Amino acid sequence: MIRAGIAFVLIVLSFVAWQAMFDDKDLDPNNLLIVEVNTSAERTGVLRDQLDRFEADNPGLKVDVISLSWGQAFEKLSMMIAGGQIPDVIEMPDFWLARYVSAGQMADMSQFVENTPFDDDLEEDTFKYGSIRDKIYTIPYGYYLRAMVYNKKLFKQADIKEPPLTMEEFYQTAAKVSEIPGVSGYCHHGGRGGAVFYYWIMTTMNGSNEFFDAEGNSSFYDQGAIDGLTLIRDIYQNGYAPQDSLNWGFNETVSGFYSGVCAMLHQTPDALNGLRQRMDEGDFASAPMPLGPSGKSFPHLGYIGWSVFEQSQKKEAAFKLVAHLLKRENHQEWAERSGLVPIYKGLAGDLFDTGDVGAGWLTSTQDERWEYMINPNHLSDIAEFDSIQVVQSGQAMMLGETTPEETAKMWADFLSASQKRWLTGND
Amino acid sequence: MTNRVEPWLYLAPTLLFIFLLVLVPLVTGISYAFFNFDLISGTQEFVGFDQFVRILSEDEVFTMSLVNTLFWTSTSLFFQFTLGLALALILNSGFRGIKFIQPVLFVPWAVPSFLIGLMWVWMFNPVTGPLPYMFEGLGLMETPENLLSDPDLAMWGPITANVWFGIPFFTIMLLAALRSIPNDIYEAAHMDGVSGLQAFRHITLPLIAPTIIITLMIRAIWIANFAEIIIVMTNGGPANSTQIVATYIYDTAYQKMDFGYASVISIALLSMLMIYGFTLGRIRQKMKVYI
Amino acid sequence: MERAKYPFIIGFLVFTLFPVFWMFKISVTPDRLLYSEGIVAWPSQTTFDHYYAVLVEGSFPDYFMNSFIVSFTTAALVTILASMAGYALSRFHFKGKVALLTILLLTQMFPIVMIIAPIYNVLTFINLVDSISGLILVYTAFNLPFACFLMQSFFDGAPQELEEAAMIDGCTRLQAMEKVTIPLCLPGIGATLGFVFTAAWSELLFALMFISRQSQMTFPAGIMNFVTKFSVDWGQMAAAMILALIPVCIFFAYIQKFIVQGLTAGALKG
Repeated sequence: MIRAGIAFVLIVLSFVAWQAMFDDKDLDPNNLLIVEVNTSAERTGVLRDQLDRFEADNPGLKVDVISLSWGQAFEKLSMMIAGGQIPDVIEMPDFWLARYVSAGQMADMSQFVENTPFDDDLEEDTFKYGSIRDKIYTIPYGYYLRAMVYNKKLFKQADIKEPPLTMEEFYQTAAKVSEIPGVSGYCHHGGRGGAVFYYWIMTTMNGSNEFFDAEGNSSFYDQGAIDGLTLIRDIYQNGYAPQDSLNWGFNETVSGFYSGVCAMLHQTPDALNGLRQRMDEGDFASAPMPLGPSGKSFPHLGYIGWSVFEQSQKKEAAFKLVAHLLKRENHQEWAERSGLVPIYKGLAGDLFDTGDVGAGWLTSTQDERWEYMINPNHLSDIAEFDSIQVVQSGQAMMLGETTPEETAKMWADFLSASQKRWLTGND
Repeated sequence: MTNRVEPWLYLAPTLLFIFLLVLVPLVTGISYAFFNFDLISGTQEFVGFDQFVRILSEDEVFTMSLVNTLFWTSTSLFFQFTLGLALALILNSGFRGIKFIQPVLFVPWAVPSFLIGLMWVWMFNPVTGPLPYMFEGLGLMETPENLLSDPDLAMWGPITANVWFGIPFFTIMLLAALRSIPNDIYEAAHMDGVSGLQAFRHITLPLIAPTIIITLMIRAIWIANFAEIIIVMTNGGPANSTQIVATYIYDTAYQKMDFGYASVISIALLSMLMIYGFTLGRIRQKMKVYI
Repeated sequence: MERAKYPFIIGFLVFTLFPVFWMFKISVTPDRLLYSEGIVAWPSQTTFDHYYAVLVEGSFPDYFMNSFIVSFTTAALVTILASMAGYALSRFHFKGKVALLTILLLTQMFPIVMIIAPIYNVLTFINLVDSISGLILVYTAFNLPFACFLMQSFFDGAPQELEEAAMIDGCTRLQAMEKVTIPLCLPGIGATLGFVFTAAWSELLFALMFISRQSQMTFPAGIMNFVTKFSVDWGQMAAAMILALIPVCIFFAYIQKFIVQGLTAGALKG
């Protein structure tokens, strides 16, 4: 028995040694390595197709893909980099960008953009969004623009004719829908990822989509912003949002919406795919985010883009690959399949011309009363602010543990301090 | 038995494994505490004890999460241990159908912890799970609401999931200890007129005491460090009400990317667990003498 | 006492199996009905599509195979090494023993999230990152400390006199160990084996952080494929989870023999 045990240990160890020495990991160091972080099986298929075409167009170039699952992508990517496994091209969400740029890991793409012919139809701010201190570090592959999806059946049941156009109507609609037993008006996203709703309601009530003044003081402590927080707190405390929406994440808000627990959902267009699978086409529609007292509204525009690593040994090829993925026809397929607002202006009409389901996004992109709100993505602590501070202190406010004013003050202090550090260049 | 070389020979392979893959990384992890360390850029700046000052002077979330950790650990441990011991005693006494029921009772231990979290989130959600309606039926809740979004009750969600997960651990360990007690001891005791509860107190308990102590010690340490279930179920919310030190460390390291400070918090947790470990270790030594 | 047993067992069974039953229900519910029927004990329509998708369309058979290799190897490796170490800790008094025990305990107290990055570097160094061999080594290292404590306490419980008697009768230490001590400690060995097997079977964090290749993925890491940023494929995930429980049940059904053997081994002695 003891001998068998020792033999077993030796066998295992020799297997381990064999794998350490001879396993080639399938990854050829001569190939380009692209890492996707917002992985889904279907999208990986689209990406692979486009990479195959790239390989066909560029004989000699091969591309490997590593697909990380979204939940742990940030942790894993940072570990890979610390361990010396540096990808060439990376899918870069807006709120990670500053972290990687301040760590010196992202390649400046400005020169490359200048030398590459992009279609004139490209949304003019595309490069600006991915820039920090006037250097382009990422190029968005599509926009996660927010609009309001609503449940037509529940609206009808509550005798509501039109989706809310103004903030006042938003509140009234939420209240009215909530009169139906077991149903609430608004699907609040109180857990991680929900910060941008607070930002929307604060900026829209305040009438400006600027986060800071020239000195770097946050606008979150302006009276309008405080009013915004008060409004959402009232909606929650009056029961116009489900009690447990306090810690809902993305999945819960969407499932809450399609199970008919709540009637209005603040969402990005990629949620539509999931909705179509589970609801009848005629039962839901979208409207732009309600207008504030100033007659304007500032729906959040998020993006994920393609970036190239500074330490990449094959930057030229990597840039080429990025250009390939953003080419108009590739991009159209990409935006369509993942349900994004495209970066080419003309395409939005094609993609969202689907009756009232796409109406919210189409209006937001075309009507001047809607302007985009871009998070202060240049601040390197914005990710932690979004996902920790705002979530926990927002919950405390909704529960009545702190007042909207105290909360606004706390957030403004954090952001002002961060912005001032950035302005003095000590980021 | 005293022998200089022989024990080390048996210990060597174990020590080699632990040294290379646990101890070296552990020392590296602890060293972060003295650096302003950025994983992404790989820069390290020596800051000495600066970060230790911060935790002692100005960290409210840490204090709060410490209190929560105490509650989370002790409550989970209490239910896991008492229920696990009860189950072990029942299984040890044997009953019909035990062969089929026994493996099933161990199932929770084999479910990945993040799935446990998702599963219980599903159970507590009034849209998808039956629990809120059961609580309502039992008169515990006025309306079927989600316990996880009530800051006063939220901690009970992860605790329930953790108890569900942890009972089999105690059951299996204590059952093995019970099974190692030779039957003739009981027979001898029976002849001396000792049986039932008395036999449990004077024979069973002292004999399984070493196992009880070691499992209580290790489980408490694991539970205190066990963040996955909470991260999946509540993410420390609402309003930090389920924030334990382990989740706080996770956030600090991987959301704020502040590995230096996360290491400081880890060291604080480590010191407290060490005090706990040594206390139990002392008790165990005393008991050996007593037996 | 005898009668009170049964309600207790039933209570445990309900508490243990109800959530599993609920997952099973989700796994056979068609996606369309998942949210639309409210809280019902059983869906109006059932389907095995999710099982089909998991077993036939996806890479789950590979994941299960990898998981099985990793868990079984780790369990056996840890049990063998920990038996040796536990024996040394139990039967010998030597210098540095207390320090050693302290260090073993200490390794359990530091949060794993803090040491993942250094371990990743060690694995990169020995070229075993992103392979199941690396995973086996890491799991072995992390399960060893507790397994040592466990085996030590089981050896402590096995009377030393018998072994000494055997050695006086002319057995070498190894022979005495094989003939007397190991049979007495079989329940402990069984428990350790079962414990480490399940721990490795269900481990996610290391698997997720160290493995990127599909061909080397274990099932918990594979299950994360169902969680994307924008949706969770509950049906398939529940199906995969239910399937993953089956081998564990079988393993435990087998292991329980060892644990039960403790009784007979105990009788041997008298």
